Amino acid sequence: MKTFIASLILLCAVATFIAFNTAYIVRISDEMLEIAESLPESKAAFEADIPSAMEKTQRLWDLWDKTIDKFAFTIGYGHIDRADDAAAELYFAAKNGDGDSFITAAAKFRDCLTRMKKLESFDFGSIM
Amino acid sequence: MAAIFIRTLIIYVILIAMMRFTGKRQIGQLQVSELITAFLISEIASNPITDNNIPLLHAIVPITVILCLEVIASFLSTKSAVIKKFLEGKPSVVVRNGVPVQKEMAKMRMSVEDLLCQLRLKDTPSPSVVDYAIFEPNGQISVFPLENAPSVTGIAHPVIVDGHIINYVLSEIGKDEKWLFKTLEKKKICNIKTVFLMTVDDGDAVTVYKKEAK
Repeated sequence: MKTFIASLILLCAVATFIAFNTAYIVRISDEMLEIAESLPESKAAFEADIPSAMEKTQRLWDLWDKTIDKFAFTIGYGHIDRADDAAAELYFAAKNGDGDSFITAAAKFRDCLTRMKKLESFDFGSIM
Repeated sequence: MAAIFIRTLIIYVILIAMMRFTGKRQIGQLQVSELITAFLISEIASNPITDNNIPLLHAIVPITVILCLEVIASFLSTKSAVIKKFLEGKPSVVVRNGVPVQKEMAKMRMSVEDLLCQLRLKDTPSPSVVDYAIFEPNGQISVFPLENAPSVTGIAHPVIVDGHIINYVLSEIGKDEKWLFKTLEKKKICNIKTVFLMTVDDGDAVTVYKKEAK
């Protein structure tokens, strides 16, 4: 009976951890996606307001850098590495004023975030 | 390499702790659900040890969940006969009063050779000396000998199994098909297809089990 109750408690603890972890990843991913989606979507738009793009990229980079270790607890390292590469490309493209690389890296980073969010959420597609 | 070393230690400690927590038996005594759990756990645990790209939690969470479910299922099976039957199956009587129970053997997909082998492992020379042979849910067989069992010299050699003559056994015991058919004739059996099992012991005593009507 004691082991049974302990198992139930342990199972509930694991389920709670998973629920909180999912909520955390979805919240942070949404936050980053919101910033990523506000980034310029064309080279012309990027070049028209480089300081604003740089400021958003800096916020995105800081947030990513702050949360990458927590993401790595549960998300496969392959996905993390891909997103980290995209984030670094985005950051340096903004810093160097390279519009083409910036647009490509922004699209790649958005795609990585969407995939990670989908993988961690209670979504039929990700479960199957 | 240091990371793999640490990961292996962590997985090992967690596995030992979880297995102790479930308080389960040795491999030979595993029930079906426990066997599945053991297979799953060994597979899940090995992945993050050898692959540095997999987070440790990808092993720790499923191992914890599987073992908790196993404990919960075991507990529920002690409370409900239906769950117990579903998880563990039920014992099957494969020999009763010296006669193989063919229907039960078919249900268990147990061949005559399997039965004879299991009986020999229990130092039982022939089904004819068995009161009850019970195939337990953990894969072992329990054998209870007949009180007034007929004497068997040596062991019973199967010469006909499921309507087929086992020629190598016949030659091993120094007999031939002519002797076999003569013996069957004496037993008033004209079609060997109707014989489920015919055994001959080392003292030439013959036992015939006919096929049960379907």
